[in-house]
Amino acid sequence: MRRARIAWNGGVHEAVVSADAQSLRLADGREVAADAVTWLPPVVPKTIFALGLNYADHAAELAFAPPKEPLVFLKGPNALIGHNATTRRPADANQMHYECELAVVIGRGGRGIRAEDAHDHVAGYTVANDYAIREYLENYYRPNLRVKNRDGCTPIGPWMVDRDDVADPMDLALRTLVNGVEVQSGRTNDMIFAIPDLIAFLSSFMTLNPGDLILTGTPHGVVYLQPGDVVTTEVEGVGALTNSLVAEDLKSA
Amino acid sequence: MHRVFAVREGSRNLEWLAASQAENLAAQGRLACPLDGTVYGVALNSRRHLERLGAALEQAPYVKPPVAPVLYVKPVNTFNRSGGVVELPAGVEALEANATLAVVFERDLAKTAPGAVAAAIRGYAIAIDVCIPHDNLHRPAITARCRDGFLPVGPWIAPVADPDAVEIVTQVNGAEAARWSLADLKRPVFALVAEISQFMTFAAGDTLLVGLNPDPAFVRAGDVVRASAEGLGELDVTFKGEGQ
Repeated sequence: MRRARIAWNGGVHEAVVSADAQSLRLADGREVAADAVTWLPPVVPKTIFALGLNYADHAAELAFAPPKEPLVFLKGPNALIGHNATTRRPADANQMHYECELAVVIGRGGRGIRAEDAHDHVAGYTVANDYAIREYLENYYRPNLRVKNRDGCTPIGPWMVDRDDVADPMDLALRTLVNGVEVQSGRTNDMIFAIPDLIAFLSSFMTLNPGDLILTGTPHGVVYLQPGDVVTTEVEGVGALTNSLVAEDLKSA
Repeated sequence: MHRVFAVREGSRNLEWLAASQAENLAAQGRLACPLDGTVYGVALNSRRHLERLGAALEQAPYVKPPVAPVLYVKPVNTFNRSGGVVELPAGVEALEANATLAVVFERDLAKTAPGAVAAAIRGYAIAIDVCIPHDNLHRPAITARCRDGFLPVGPWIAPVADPDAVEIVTQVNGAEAARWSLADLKRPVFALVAEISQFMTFAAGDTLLVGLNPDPAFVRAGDVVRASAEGLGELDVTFKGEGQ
């Protein structure tokens, strides 16, 4: 099942997406056309984890040796924004790029979860675009929050796919389209630390909570973006998440 | 009557209590952690620390001194309370117990000037930012900073006339182990909040830890720590070995 959070008719709703993705069914049975809703981030997480350098080819692209333990950083909920929204690009951000990622939603929390049990703790999967602005990178707690915790700079969605509807999350194609042209592609089997390893690693020293998100990293293929660009990040069997860049300007949205 | 914001044990709601009542509840260990939003911390916001590091900030892996505030997140699993217990992870002999000031926001705040910050603040609290000691700040220190219970905060949230004039004293087993005046902050509190708010929104309920003392207390299993500041009460925490 594909589960969404939407704003519609002045309220926030949980909704189930139809097979053809043309409509959504609310909890009370009402059907709403997909193009009539505002897509919100599909989960409200307590903690948002993200991985740096978790694809061998991307680490090489950025001239880093693959990390020996997962390079994990955290975000706040301010960073998240739903499907079909706009993200603001500051005027001096000439090196802003997308990062297509498979995101894992924790269903059952816990501490000391073994890798072989990790699957039982997953609620489902969604798609994230973990935008970065390379001009703002600094070598203190890198990637620093000025790069990775900007308001609305982590689109996520459109929905969460239930865990059991994804046969093998470690064998999915990922790709990014900018204005309809493919600019990034990869496969989740290229992750350095696989999803069960990440859940085991994190829960070895901290308690995970239901709804927590793990953005599992991005493969090779970075292209810088301009205002007006339409970016679609897509994970096979999970969904296609679209976001548009706009110039940052306080006077207009 | 002097009042503070506190959460009673077993409750989830912040209440506006008379200070005397909060003091009684705190003395009985019956106040919970008063936080609920996202907590951000700031490293390298001490002038003394920056001076001490000096040329090291020009060298690898840093290359140049920090431009933007150096931020990190303390996730919800770290939240702890006055009267709480912090466990030392197995194999770790000593922890850093860095007592600092927590700024708690009452309203959403973004792209704000320093002069407009005070109006968005609910109040202030003492926090002890616990971590496994680490010198290298190159990568996010999740395993060092984000363990369960590593952020005792409280006992309550109260107004402070001038946050930059706050002095926080840390006692370990009754003896003074650290003292930090926020006059040492490179970015004073309102300027710090304003600068961070240029790229991210502090939502109502979020918290900012304003900096880290370059000479904090270090604690071992069995130690009892008290951090205090005028008007903000006493934050008491016991450190224990894992599983003890």
